[in-house]
Amino acid sequence: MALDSAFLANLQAELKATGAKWTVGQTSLFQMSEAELKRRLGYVPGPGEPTLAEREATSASRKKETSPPGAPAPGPLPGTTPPAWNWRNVGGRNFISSIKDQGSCGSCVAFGTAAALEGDVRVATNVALSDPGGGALPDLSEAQLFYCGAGANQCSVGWYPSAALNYARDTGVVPDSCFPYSAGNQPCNLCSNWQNLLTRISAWHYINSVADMKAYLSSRGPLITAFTVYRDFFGYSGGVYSHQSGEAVGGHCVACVGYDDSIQAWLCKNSWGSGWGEGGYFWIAYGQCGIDAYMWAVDGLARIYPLYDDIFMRDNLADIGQVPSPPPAYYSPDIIPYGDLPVGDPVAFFKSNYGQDVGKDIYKGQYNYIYTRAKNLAFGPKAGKVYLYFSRASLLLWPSLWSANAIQTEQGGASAAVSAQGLGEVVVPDSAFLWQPPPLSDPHDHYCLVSRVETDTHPNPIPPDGSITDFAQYVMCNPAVGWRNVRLVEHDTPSLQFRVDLVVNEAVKLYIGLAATDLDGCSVQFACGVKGPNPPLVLDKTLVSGPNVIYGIFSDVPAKFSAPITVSYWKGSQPVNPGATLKLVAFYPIEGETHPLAAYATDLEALQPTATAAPDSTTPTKAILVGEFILKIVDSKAGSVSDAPPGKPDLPPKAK
Amino acid sequence: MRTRSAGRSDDGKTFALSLGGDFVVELDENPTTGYLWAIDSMDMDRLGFVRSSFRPGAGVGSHPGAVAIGGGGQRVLLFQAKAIGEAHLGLKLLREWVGAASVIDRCAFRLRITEDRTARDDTPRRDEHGT
Repeated sequence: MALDSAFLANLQAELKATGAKWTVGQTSLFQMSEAELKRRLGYVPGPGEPTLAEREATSASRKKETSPPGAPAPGPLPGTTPPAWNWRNVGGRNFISSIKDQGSCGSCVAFGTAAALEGDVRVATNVALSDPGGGALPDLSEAQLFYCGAGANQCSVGWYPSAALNYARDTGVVPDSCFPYSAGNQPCNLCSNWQNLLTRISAWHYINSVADMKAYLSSRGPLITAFTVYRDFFGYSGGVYSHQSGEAVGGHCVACVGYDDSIQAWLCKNSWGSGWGEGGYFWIAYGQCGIDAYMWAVDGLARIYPLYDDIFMRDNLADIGQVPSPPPAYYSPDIIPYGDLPVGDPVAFFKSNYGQDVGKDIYKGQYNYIYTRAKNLAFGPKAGKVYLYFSRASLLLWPSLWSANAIQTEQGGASAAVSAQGLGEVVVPDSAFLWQPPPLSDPHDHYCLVSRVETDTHPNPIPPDGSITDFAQYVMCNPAVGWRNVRLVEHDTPSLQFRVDLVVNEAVKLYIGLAATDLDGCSVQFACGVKGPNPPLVLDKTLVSGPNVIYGIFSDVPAKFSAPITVSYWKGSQPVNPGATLKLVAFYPIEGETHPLAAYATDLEALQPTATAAPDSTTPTKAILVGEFILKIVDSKAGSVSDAPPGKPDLPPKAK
Repeated sequence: MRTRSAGRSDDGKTFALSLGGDFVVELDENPTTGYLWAIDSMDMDRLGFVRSSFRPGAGVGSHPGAVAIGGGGQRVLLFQAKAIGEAHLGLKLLREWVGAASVIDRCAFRLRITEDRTARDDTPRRDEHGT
């Protein structure tokens, strides 16, 4: 009608004249009362909290503040913050639940609190809405927060974020499905088993420093905030809102989910449906309407429904640690066969691809590296051990079929240690498991790999057969157990594979090599994935070219290092000459002719026609043979071990 | 000049109003929900809109006079009779950016505007038949 059109035209003209950075949509706003323009609505969010007017004054003063003082947040926050952050898009991942609608009830505090809490849970557990299985984290019940936490008749009265957070701490919040929201005063009406469905926070605090707000937002998750709503805010349809005109009509609570220094604004999630603003969101300028006078932050979580609360391994990619996990049970992406060579930095590598299943088939007849990984869902630091077992395929997979088939780590350990600093951290043991699968008589058969995580709070012992009637059900209800079916495939099977221990007492630089005599045309390889040597003790498959050659690498081996080196040999197309040998050798490099042991040294250059690492000015030219393991190669798949020195080189004292 | 006042419970009633007199409507509103009272229909030849103001609701707890976040109050609308005759005034509660589909409440009043500046009929009557 004409009255509204005039107001809209006036507001649009005002926005243009003042250079405002936001746009107004079609509305039917009333004309304003001059008296109300100066009016501020008083509100008292709790003991010691300022009024709306005081919030606005505080925010306004922040515009010129470069390093505002503020109460330090519990726990370290990043010292520097990125210039922009948006939890709706962190590398393409969205941690913010869908836009909700509070309807005609003044329950914004419940909506702002639930929105922030939902985001904080996702950030803490590193489960984005768009991740596989991300939907398993439920939206929380605004109805419970408001009608149970605030009261049955609060729609016209409103609430306080501090009270909502106290409720989330002391009682907890159920999923939306337990008490779906509808607008209008009503009694608390929770589902029957609501006590088992709670997500609780451990504590909360105020943040009253803009720097800390940005630091929290860019590292921990969304915040809860409140601001004064003016009449012109209803017409916002995009851009960066700043108050231009219109009366103050109340205090409003929203979740702050990001910021952008380039436009000097906070990104907030409103609860007026997705038809308002920018799909339900709005940008508001720093310092406007009290938006950043202070905000409310969740310090930590005490319980997350429906997640496990300890270190767990997934049953499939959609498993985020919920109990029970979704089927199927036997595709664990956290039991990772990765071929015959170790990964240089398995911790970084397998953390980086946590969202993928990068496991490979098991290679027949050779040692396979099997990595494991897990995620910590405990509310703090946590340590544990991962065990790995194998079993022939079996319909019921009783524990007696696999409990005696423990696979050892590469170093011969029974388990691989994992340690996490906090909730949501992906952990990858340094140690891989190494497994040479026994042959299967049926080529179509497969193996089952079963993992088990043991912690102080969940020892998770292997149960007796009688307690498991359905192994899949057992695995899905036990986040500390993983299961992966694996195929055996032909993959460049070596003619011979053997393992030789390398034991080093004190840190030393070594040349580890394979010396091939009369093996021209054959191929050789060695590998050791145990962490420590730099570079890792790995020689990729190398074609032997010459009658008497050495291929190897220099590596700095740390003190107290002890691990087996797996040597692989592939025969060539020509028959092997009698007397052919393959030696795993360890040389202790020395520099210069004046070294006291120089008389016993070998000229490395003569023995190293194609070293993996290119020699440089620091590469020693001579070395003393300190360890040797000899195989006499005969023209068959099997080799024979000579009466050579033992496989554990006895190193000389470090040269001075 | 007399002022006539009406509220949500007076929906559908008729009020007598003298020419130049004020007509005030007070309606519960919670603006932070996005729902605001707006004029739905009005006889603009006989009735003029003067102003709208918002009065916050009563306080809670130990803070009388203050409302909590999300708390509502009363929308106060002031109209003025500017011509003799019968005038219709319709109001609606809606989210303005959504439009008619979001209307969740309506109320309407009929105003009988006369020259009698001493009219004392301030008792609301239901529709033109009277009650």
